[in-house]
Amino acid sequence: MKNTVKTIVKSVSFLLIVAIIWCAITLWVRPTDQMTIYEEPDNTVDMLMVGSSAWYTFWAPMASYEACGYTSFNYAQGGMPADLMKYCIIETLKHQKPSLVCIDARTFVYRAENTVYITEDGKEYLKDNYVRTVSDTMPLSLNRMKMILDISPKLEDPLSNFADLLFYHDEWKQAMNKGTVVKGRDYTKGFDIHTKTTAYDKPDDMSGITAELELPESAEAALRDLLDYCSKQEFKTIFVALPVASEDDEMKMQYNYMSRICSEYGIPMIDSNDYSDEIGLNYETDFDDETHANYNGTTKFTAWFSLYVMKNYPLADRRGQEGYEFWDEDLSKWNGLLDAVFPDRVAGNTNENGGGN
Amino acid sequence: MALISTWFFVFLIASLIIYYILPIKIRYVALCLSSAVYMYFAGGILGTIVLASFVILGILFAKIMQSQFFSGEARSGLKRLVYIISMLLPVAALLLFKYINPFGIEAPMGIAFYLMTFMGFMTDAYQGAIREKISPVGAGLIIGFFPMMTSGPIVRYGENATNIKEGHKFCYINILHGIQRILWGTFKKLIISERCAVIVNTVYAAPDTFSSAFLVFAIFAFVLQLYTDFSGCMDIVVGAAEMFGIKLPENFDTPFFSRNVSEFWRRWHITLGAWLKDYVMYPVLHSELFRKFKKACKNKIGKKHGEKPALYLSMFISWTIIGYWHGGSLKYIFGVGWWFLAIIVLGELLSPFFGWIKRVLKIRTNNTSYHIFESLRTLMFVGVGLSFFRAASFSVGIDYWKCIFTNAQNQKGMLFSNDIYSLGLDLQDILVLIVAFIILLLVSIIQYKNAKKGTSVRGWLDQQNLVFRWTVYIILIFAVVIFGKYGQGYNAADFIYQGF
Repeated sequence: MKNTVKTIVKSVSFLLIVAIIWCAITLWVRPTDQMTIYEEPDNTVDMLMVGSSAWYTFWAPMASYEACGYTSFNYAQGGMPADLMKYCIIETLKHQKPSLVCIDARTFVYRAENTVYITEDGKEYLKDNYVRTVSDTMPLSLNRMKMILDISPKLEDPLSNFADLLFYHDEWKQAMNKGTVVKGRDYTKGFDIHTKTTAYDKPDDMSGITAELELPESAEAALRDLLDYCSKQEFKTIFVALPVASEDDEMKMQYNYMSRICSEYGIPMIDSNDYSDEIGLNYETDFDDETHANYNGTTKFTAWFSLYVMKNYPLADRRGQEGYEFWDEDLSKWNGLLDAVFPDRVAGNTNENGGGN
Repeated sequence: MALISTWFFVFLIASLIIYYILPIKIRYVALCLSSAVYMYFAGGILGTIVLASFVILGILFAKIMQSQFFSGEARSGLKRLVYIISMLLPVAALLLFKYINPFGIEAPMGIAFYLMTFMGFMTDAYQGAIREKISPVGAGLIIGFFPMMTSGPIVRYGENATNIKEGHKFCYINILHGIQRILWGTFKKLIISERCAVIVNTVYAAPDTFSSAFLVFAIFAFVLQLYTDFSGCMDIVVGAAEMFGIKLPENFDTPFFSRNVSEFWRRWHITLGAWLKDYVMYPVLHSELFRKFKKACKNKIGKKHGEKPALYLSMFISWTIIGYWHGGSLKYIFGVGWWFLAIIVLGELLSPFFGWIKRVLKIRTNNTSYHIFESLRTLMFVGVGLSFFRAASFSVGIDYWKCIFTNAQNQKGMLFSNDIYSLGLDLQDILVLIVAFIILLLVSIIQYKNAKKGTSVRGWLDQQNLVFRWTVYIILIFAVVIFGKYGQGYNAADFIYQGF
């Protein structure tokens, strides 16, 4: 008996040591080029934007902070599967207490087209790269484990998602040479500046369409799961359909369908495509591509949505508040970035070449 | 479900849990079930059907041949007929799936290995070499125990059936040793073999663009690749079995310390060599026909040398079968068969001459330096043979050797220059390979020296302090995880011998 206990203690200790080293090496070889909300000081983000790349091109948290004093952060990854959003919020709530969570509605409409694929035998899987950009930048936590466990039937290789060292192990050569990449607070707060301009025709006004079109079953399941979670939380939630350069009937009808489901849970949804004139969007100058804004579009949308929030969800103005000094530091870095990208910019003005306020 | 895959390790753990949860008397049920499930997932429906058929046939034939009904002389003809059928069926299956393959179907996984076990089993049953009553479970498991399915070892009923089928008590040391072996096997395969494969594939893809030095280097890289691949696979197989408390026969015994080619083959793919000796060479040599041949030779050329032609002929048959077993093509028959036979026969014929040279030059042979010389000489002969094994065909192998003799000054020439990067590995990978090779060499030396004393590397490791042991394990684990060639952007190839 004594020997058995000794063996068990030894085995557990050994596994613990292996697990600790495993985690340390995982963090060493993981991608470091994506800074995250987890680097932000605790309880300093009042508004959380969760979703796909649309958020990080349309919403500039620093611009909103400069104008209104809102502290927000884009927890956005290219092609973020709708199925993961709940876990991103849960993980964020461990360190932040946002009053408002803004969810990218497009993620659900685009889910079937962009973030999943169907195998020859008809099985639906989430695209691995989109899952990884979320799971591999999330702290090694039980929530992360639960996320992967919950979506594992939708993953072709769930094991390497659990143990991402198995996936990134070959990065050791790069990891050894990456001394120049510094992890730390992201002064853009999850924003990605786009300067290219692609001209589009102004799409037809879809605001009159009231018909609905069902979402694919798996997308609706993900939506309901998220709504169910959000409706039970302290923070307020809003679903936002971010502008696209070519909204069509089908998309509008799916947004209508989503909007009705959201209302079942008492959560509002806004289709910003219906407010393109109010936003002041110029489809010839404000888009990088069909689904992403350039900085012209960013400034317009950010200004409009900041006002929308001001009217509907009054948030605190954190400018000059104690404990938020680092936002001012980040703001000067942000302005430095804008000066570098748009040398001719004049505060408050936009130009016709993709950006510069 | 490849042997090195997360799924295999998950499957192994699940099988172990079920095995040790079941009462000791029926633990074989877990092995039978695991083997069936493994075969289904790794070998598909066809593989499962073929394996299951041979398991059933093996039990049936063995039972028939062992039955009292056939015990007398009167029915020996009938028993012989059953034996012949039991041998013809696997030969037909091998010809059908591996060598003729009229339907273009991929050969069932591991067929060449388990059918060798099957044929050995049939022969033992026929010859009455199995004294105890044949157990259907034991018979089924020596043919189809899942770790052995892909690459052997080839086992014998008498030596292994009881050990495999009987329930084993849970033993921490068995689990620990099993994990050690699996870890060492993955180290060899993923760190050494897969890196050597990059070099070998690069050079063999365009031998005419490399200098002689690189071409020769690639041959030895292939020898190392094949050794670490196959022996690594065996480490995983033996280690997995050990976790169930099952001791499988070893297939490798530090072959590169062999002093000659004969010894090399006694230390390399041991169970295949033993199988051929027991079931082909000796039976052929002792057959009526060969007895008559021996007698005729003795009458013609005298007693001293009269036995040799029959011996060489039986060896020729065995070596041809070895080559043929690897694949029907001439590259295997020559590279793994006839070449080694030629070296062995020539070595024997010329041994008086070599003995004379040693005497004249006063060469001391009982020392380490001469042993090293002999081992290097053996390695050279092995390299020549295996260079054909790796080539796409025998004629490609010949062309490769033509390049060796004509490419002395070619484009990519210098081993110790930047040309080394033309072999497909970058500096970091080359350094990893060198360090891993040194570790392999050191472990092999310890293994070789300990074997003489009757101990093992693991025994030696067990005697060390906890901190040292754990450090070794942790370094091994993370060396495999980090430096192993697998996963993203690189899929570790299957084991080479899995294809046979």
